[in-house]
Amino acid sequence: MSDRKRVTGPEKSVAPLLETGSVPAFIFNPDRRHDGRDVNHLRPVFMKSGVVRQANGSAYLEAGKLKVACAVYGPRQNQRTKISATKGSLGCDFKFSPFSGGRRRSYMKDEQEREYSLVLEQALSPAVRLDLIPKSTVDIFVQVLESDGSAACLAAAITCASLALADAGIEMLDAVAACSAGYFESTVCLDPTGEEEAHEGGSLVLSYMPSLNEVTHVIQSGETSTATTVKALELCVDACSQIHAVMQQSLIANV
Amino acid sequence: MISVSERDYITKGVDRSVRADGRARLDFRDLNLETGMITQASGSCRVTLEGGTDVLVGVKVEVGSIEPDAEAAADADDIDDDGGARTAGGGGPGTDDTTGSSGGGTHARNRGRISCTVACSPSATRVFDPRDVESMCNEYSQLLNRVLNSAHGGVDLAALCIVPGSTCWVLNVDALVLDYGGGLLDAIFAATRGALHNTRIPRATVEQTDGRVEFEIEDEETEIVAGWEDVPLTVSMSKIGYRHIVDPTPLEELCSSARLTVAVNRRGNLCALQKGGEGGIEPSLLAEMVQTAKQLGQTLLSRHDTLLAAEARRIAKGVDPTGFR
Repeated sequence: MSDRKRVTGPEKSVAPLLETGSVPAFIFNPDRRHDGRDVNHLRPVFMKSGVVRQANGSAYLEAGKLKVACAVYGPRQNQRTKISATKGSLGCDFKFSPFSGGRRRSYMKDEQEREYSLVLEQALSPAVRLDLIPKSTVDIFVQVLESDGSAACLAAAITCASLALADAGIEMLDAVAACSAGYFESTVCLDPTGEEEAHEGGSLVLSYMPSLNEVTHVIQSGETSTATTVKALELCVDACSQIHAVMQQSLIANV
Repeated sequence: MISVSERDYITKGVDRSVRADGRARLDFRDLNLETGMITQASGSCRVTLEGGTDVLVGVKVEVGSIEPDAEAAADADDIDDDGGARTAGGGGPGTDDTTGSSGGGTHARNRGRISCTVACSPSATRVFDPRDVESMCNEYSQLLNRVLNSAHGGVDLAALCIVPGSTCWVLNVDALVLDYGGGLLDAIFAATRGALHNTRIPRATVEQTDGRVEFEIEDEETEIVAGWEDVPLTVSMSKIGYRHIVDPTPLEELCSSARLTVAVNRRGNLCALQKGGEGGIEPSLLAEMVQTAKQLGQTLLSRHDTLLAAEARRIAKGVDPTGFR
């Protein structure tokens, strides 16, 4: 819309519509999902740190189709003049690549990306020792190369960013692992794919510091009962511990 | 900015369930509510809290087109074949007027939609850094959008559809923060629910003449927003020290390390859960806070319903609203 230099296409475009019936109907089976997992299993996840040479720290994460890269710069001098300078700050920037999903995304940050940037900041702040870096800022850039479910993307971004922070040698209390869950009525299904996300009744993203036993962020949408939510929280906490183990391995492998 | 001793004073008070204004940890402030003071809007509501929070929500109803890339696959089986004729002429003002670059939202093809924004009036933002205000407003509008546009957000989106696959009502919910005195998000949701209760949508009659679908809008006859009573209210809890409180004042908000917002509806179900702030919460405390919020939400909802019923009686009697006098 406002970026006419790079984009010469029409102002508004839509993804092609598929003819009804050409796509097989989606059936959710809790015991055997489309990729062969059951509801309590995460997608196999691959992580690698130190992928961007220019950055102070960086990481790459892949889970199924989902691909996320993150680079960390800093700590460097705070550009913003803030009155309170006893603590450092995190500057988070979350971006979907234009080609990452079904619909083409614009170069400009939309509301969802701005919201995810804020969530990222809130999820990572409790872990980083910001009191040790007063008057400075750590910039975190997350780029989603391919997305497969927006909730899973957000969770992967948090995990990946925390790995990159560790790679940059920024002091943290603990690494933050994040995990998403989808609600299919009262069934809680871990790590939903994009296809499952289109059919779920709600979703939950939880980020957690396993060694400290502290939840750093939680965001849920969709109508659920309290019991289901509490069950999903427990499931996600367990799953985050699994992801945390993979993070530790990949950090050790990079030493 | 808050001094160390003031922070210590508030934290210790919260630990003993005594707060500066005499409330206990889980007490709300009195909420004043008035609807229908903006006559140009389709619906409006102003909520004020004792400590100074002042939120005005206006609803503007517009005719919009259903976006073609609406999630067609999601409910492909309940769209009936509408004969290829998608020309919707007739009396709708601004039929193709979609301002909606509604970020990431998916709309089914036979549903209307709600577009929400939260803005901070310059008179209220003096105390804040403009960039923090912007990100806060964005966070709140995204939450409102997510809650109201979901299948369980309360408002019957299918009832907002005029011609399936082409035209629908768009409810523009715009919240304006006039003054800030803590507990902003809860006030915004209370005002939104009030404004939706107050909203009247003109009646649209659809006529089908040889393949052409036309509709007419009658401004005289209006309908209420179906399902406003199922719109959730939020309960925001701030964690101060090892305890949590509801409805914080600005000073208490400065002491709190984390905020948990829980949206609760009439059926006692959770509609959204969101953490804010820069601290962490233990999983056991999180579960406890969710349970507390659910109970508090029910009392809040019944109190809100009483206030709205009183407003409806006032309007029925023809008494003018006090407004801003």
